[in-house]
Amino acid sequence: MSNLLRVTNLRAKNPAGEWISPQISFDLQAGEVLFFRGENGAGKSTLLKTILGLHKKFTGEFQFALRPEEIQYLPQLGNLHFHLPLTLQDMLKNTGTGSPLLQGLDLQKKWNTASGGERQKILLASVLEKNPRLLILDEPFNHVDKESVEVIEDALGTFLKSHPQSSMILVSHRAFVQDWAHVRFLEIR
Amino acid sequence: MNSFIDLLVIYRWSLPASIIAAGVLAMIGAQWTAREKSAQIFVLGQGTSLGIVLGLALNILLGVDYHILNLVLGFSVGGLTLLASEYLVETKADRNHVYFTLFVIFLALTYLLTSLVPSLESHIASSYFGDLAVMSDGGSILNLVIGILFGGFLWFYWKPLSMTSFHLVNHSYIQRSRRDLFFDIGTLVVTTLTIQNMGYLFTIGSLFISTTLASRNSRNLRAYFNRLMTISVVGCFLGFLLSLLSTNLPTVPCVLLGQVLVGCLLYTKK
Repeated sequence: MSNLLRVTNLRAKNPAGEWISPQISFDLQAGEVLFFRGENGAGKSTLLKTILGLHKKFTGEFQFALRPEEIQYLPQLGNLHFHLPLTLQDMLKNTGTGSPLLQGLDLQKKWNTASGGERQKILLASVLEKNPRLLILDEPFNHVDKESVEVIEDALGTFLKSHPQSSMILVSHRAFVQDWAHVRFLEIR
Repeated sequence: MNSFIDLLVIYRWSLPASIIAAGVLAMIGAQWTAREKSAQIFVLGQGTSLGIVLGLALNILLGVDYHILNLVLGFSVGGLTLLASEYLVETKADRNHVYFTLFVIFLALTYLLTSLVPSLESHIASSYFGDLAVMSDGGSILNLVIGILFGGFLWFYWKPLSMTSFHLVNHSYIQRSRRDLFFDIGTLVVTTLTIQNMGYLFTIGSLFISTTLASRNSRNLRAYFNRLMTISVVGCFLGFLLSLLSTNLPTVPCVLLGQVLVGCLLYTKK
């Protein structure tokens, strides 16, 4: 298995220079799923953002063996009201993907009127259609109804099976229910 | 009728330049508003305006007439404002008050320049309020060419740019492309040229009126784009024609009111 990401002694700081996460080190291999676990406020999301270049204050280092376009990221689903009238269809590059995530979705519905489940399903479909080598998901099951959670879990499992060289880093409070291969846990505390 | 056509012949460059500029500014304004950066572009306009006034002052003090100096200084101060706001201010969670502070500082500096160089006063008025009817042919043609080129870029990449705007406000924007850099530079070039040739009022008004009135009731991104173009282009054209009815009617307020009128007519239409 090839190494996709090496993280060494990474620790995030806030603008005042105070530590806001523990120090972590890990290697991520192709085909692996890495689960970040920890209490609220432990710094899991901040560490993800640091790796993605969205949080700039940190010590330590990280190195990808991937091109930037091979990485896809879904942040925590917020209550975003977008100024432009994007429809769910607008979020996709191809509409004929046949993804189970799109089943039952009204693609003409506007983002601003879609439910949490519909939003998360369309966002996940839009990143999966790009066939990422590394998928980074921050609490993908938050603000999502039970039925949508199952659809999302199935879609992730199917993606990992059909793309054995793709990896995933996941932050979630949800108990791990899927039988995914090559899963590792990293305690953030 | 003949005299009206004669008038249109006089404005053969300024009329299409204004219409194209209104359309391009509307597209720029829609994307910046979607990125929740309205205050940033408002300050960018004021920074550019300060640079242009600085160029005018230097022209007067040095006894020369180099329009390029105004443009270069407008572009430079606008560019510095954009860089500073992007890298110093945008990282702050609470930033609108910083933008308004910058706006007031730029305004105060512009006023200071006017006091130091009293003969600037008439130039300041035209720099702020503008007059599309007295635009030079050279300025109109330059605005027209740049407007068509950047407008074509915005039209062609409308959906990807809209998705970039979405990812920026969703905090999921992790891959900056050359297209996004081109969008930022194009915004700076177009706003500098329109502030220089058409005034601050026309520029800021065209950036925000259409997107404010088009955002309601549009079915999708394409319908919204069509509505945006109708408000800005048709509104500008109608306003310009209206201003030709009397010499007492200034062009810029008429053009902006034209956009408001068309926007209001479309506001309730599904």
